[in-house]
Amino acid sequence: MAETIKSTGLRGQSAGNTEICTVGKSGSGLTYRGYDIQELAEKARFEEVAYLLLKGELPTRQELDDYISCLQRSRGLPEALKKVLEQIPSDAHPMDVLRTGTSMLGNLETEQRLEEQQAHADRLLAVMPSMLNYWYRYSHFGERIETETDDTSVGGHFLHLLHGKPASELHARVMNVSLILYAEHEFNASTFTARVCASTLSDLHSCVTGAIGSLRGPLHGGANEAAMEMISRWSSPDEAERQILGMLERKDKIMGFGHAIYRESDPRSAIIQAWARQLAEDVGDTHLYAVSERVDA
Amino acid sequence: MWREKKLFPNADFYHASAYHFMGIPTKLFTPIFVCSRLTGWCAHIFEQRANNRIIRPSADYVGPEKRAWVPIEQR
Repeated sequence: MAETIKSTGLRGQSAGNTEICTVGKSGSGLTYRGYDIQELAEKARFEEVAYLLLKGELPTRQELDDYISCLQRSRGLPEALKKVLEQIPSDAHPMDVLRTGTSMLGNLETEQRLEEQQAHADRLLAVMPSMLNYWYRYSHFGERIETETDDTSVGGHFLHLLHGKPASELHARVMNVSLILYAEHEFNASTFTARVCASTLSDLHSCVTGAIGSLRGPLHGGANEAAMEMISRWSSPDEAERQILGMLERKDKIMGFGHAIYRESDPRSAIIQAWARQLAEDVGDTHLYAVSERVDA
Repeated sequence: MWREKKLFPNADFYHASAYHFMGIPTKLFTPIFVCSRLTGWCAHIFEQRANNRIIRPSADYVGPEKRAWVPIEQR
């Protein structure tokens, strides 16, 4: 038998060229098409960042207004897609719901020609929160919600559908930042999945469906869910510290720390941390944020 | 984590409490990631299509050497 070679997961190997993103170029940086993530998170709307990523340049005021209107008009769900979503049980994995929903949309609104790719991407961006929340509200509460809202932002639209009322300014702002921070990250597993699928000249919905499947795995997406599960077990910072030390001793994996590429810090963390602190004050949180800080410290 | 292991929080760690404070059910956290990362995925799909060659790497074979077929009765 040949000697066993430890899998490297292709760490550190270049798998192609890209003009879209740099990750950890100077140890901790992140840029989208040359713009620094900190500046984008502070100054941009998510729709502006989406435009930058999808079309290559920041939009002018008029282009942004038109883009926001385009997304607003594209939030409706076809009846056949609603029927499919209504068949999915409430205990289904929500990532499976999006995978199925995206695949079904590919049957109903099939990409026929390359020139249509931008329009299909915009449509998916607008409709993804609608699919998720339509299924969630129907399967959990038996409600058939109207998914077309007049919210100007993707994040505001998401929270509006989830809670059945328009989001506060603070919550819409935090969602905006969150969506910007997660928008792009070079050749990660799900993006590479999408590129491999695209390289066969497959359609956009197949590429995205495959990417959702890759993001579903707990080593890729799902770390924030695992972190939530962990911090919600502890009622005080002192208890959190005791438990973390025990976990470290047992060599348990602690979710939400470290990174495959960043060596010194993840530039996205401090940004969302500042907003988490502000939200904690806003809701009068007494321990969850403090527990988080103690785990980090 | 920093004191003991010099480990830094990644993008996910403080997202957990932030989402929770906005009343988002935990199982919807990763789907929000989809709503966002969709933009990066599509940008990469466009880039791949604009300068495409099918991605087909090769592998280092570490399996058994060539061996003789064994009839089913003799296995």
